[in-house]
Amino acid sequence: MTRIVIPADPPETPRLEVDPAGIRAFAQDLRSASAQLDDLGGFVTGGARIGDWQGDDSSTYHQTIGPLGSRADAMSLALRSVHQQVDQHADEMTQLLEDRTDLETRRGHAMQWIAGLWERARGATEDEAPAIQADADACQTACEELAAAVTAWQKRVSGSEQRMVAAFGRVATVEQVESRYGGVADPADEPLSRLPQDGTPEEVNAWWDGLSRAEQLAVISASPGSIGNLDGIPAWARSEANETSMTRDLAAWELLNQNGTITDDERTWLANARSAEDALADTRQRVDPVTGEPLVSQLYLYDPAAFDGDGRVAVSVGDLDHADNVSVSVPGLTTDMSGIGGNVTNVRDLYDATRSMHPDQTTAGLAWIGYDAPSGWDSGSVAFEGSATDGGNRLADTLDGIRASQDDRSHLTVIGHSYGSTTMGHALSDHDVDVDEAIAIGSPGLGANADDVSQIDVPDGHFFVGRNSDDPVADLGDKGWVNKGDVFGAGRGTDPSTDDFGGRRFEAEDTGRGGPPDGWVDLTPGVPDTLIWEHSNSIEMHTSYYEPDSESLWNLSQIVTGHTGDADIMNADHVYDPWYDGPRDPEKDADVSQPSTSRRVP
Amino acid sequence: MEIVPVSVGTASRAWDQQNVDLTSAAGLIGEAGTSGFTAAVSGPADRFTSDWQRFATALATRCETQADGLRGTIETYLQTEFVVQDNFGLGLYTREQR
Repeated sequence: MTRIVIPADPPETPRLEVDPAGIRAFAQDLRSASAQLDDLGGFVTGGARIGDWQGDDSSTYHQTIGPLGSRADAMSLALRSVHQQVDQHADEMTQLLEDRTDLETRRGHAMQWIAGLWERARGATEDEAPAIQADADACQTACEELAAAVTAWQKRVSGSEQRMVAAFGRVATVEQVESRYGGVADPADEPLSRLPQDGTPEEVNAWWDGLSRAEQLAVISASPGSIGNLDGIPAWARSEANETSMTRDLAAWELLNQNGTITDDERTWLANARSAEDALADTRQRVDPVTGEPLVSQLYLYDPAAFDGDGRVAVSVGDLDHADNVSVSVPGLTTDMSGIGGNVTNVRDLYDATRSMHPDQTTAGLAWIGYDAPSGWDSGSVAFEGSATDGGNRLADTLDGIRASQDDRSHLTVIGHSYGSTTMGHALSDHDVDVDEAIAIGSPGLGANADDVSQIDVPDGHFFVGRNSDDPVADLGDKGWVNKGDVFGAGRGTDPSTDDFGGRRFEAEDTGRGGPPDGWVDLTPGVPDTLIWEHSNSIEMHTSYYEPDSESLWNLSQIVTGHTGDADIMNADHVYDPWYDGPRDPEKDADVSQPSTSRRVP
Repeated sequence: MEIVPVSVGTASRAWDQQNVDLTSAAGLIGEAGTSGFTAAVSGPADRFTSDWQRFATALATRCETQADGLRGTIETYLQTEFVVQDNFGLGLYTREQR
């Protein structure tokens, strides 16, 4: 009788009950608290000193505050060191979870192998036995290697845990903090002293790239406000800095709100900060339609007190630093920071569509509210052009910043919706920018300096227009012959969907077009004299360009992913204005299709 | 007699703001969730946040003490015979706003 030795089942990899995202949130709280402590240290050596106060009381005061500042500085550095260890611990735990999945997969294969060996052994003849034994020996070796890998994995888990606990223990008392960090120079100070003042995005990026990883992290923690909105800094670092500021702001204003001493301004800023926080959280709880992984979302701009409390914010869907395709979406009139959620929803719809239609490409979109869009009392026509000009400056800086901070050049598209297209027009006509594509949707015109496509800085054949024939805002621009001049003064130059303008128009009709003409519609809330008798769903026709399964979103996705050949786009004929009649839009009678934006495009 | 300038009042308000900021920082630390850690780490993490909330609160209290001290200096100064009229509105700073 022949004996075959079959290996025993390999060991299971122990469960790892851990939540890296929760650990990162813990780290973020420590970093924000560290920044607050750092501010106190800076305050003591700056604003707390009273230069014009003389005498004994003054001397006593200034002697007293010195140690307080030193204590704050030491505590800030200590907390920062723990934050960095926590962040590293989160990285390690993420890797360990992935490795555990791999080990369990290997174990599953080994178990199947063993089951197969038993099956073969049961009915084996004498002649077959040696081959089965050889296979069993190979299986035994694989099981032993797996057991060793599981043991090594367990050691890595406990090693990471021990390092984390040790980091807590090193600064468990104030005495330890003083002993370890008292009088220690902040590693962020020297790098910050070399930060180019008023530098170009390229100069800023060169400075950043010249810092060590430790210096970069120190700068983010010590002075998030210095780099959070600075063009040329990579998006990941801007986002970490801005989230540090946001967490700190929320904690302070929520406290004031609770104790009843919050001011009206602070209440507005608090609402703005909450909007940014919600937009980030809402995106991060969703998953990529292709990989099923949680979406990356970056806080690219954060300034809740800007523009008299309207705020300034930009939130990404996707990784702006590394995506193959990056788009920047510019919203229109009356948009302020409190509206970031709706804008991020639009960008998320665009993200989902681009990923679904072209899953082999990575994409990131940025919902950009980086300018002071007129709202309410400041919405007059003259105010708007000035606002769009200033917004154009800021948008051009943002586009330059994205270009300068990327290691690998992405395919970059800027999308202007409604009056945001006028802001985009100023960025493209008043500045040299480096975009691959530009798209105007629902546009009342690209502003005073863009009469036709030759006046905007976009590669030939890469300026696109999406216009629903029933969109009343897109109807405001100048169409040439009969319709000379802006309707109600609310148009902003030449209608870019006209043949004279020279852009490439794509189909952007909505299945809901042509509703009953049964109401007054305020085309531009806040702007005087823009009430017109229109279809009751006219505003929907102006705001549906990002709707899933629409002609518009399908075309936007094609352009954003660089599929811009004639056959890649659903082309539409231009609006024209014959001498014998009013302007005509051939799309008015065109069939409306509903192309799937969740299906791969061959 | 030492003159107390308005900047002392301004500084007292700034110390009040530091108290608010440090109190909120203490709250951030104290409320930082530790449930994401493994069982081996969450206990030490809880203890860490508890201790550090106390450290930050103590620092916040010292900021408030500075603010109170400066307010006391102003009050004492305004009560002296030397000051016949509060021309610069120093009295406004003797009231704590937050």
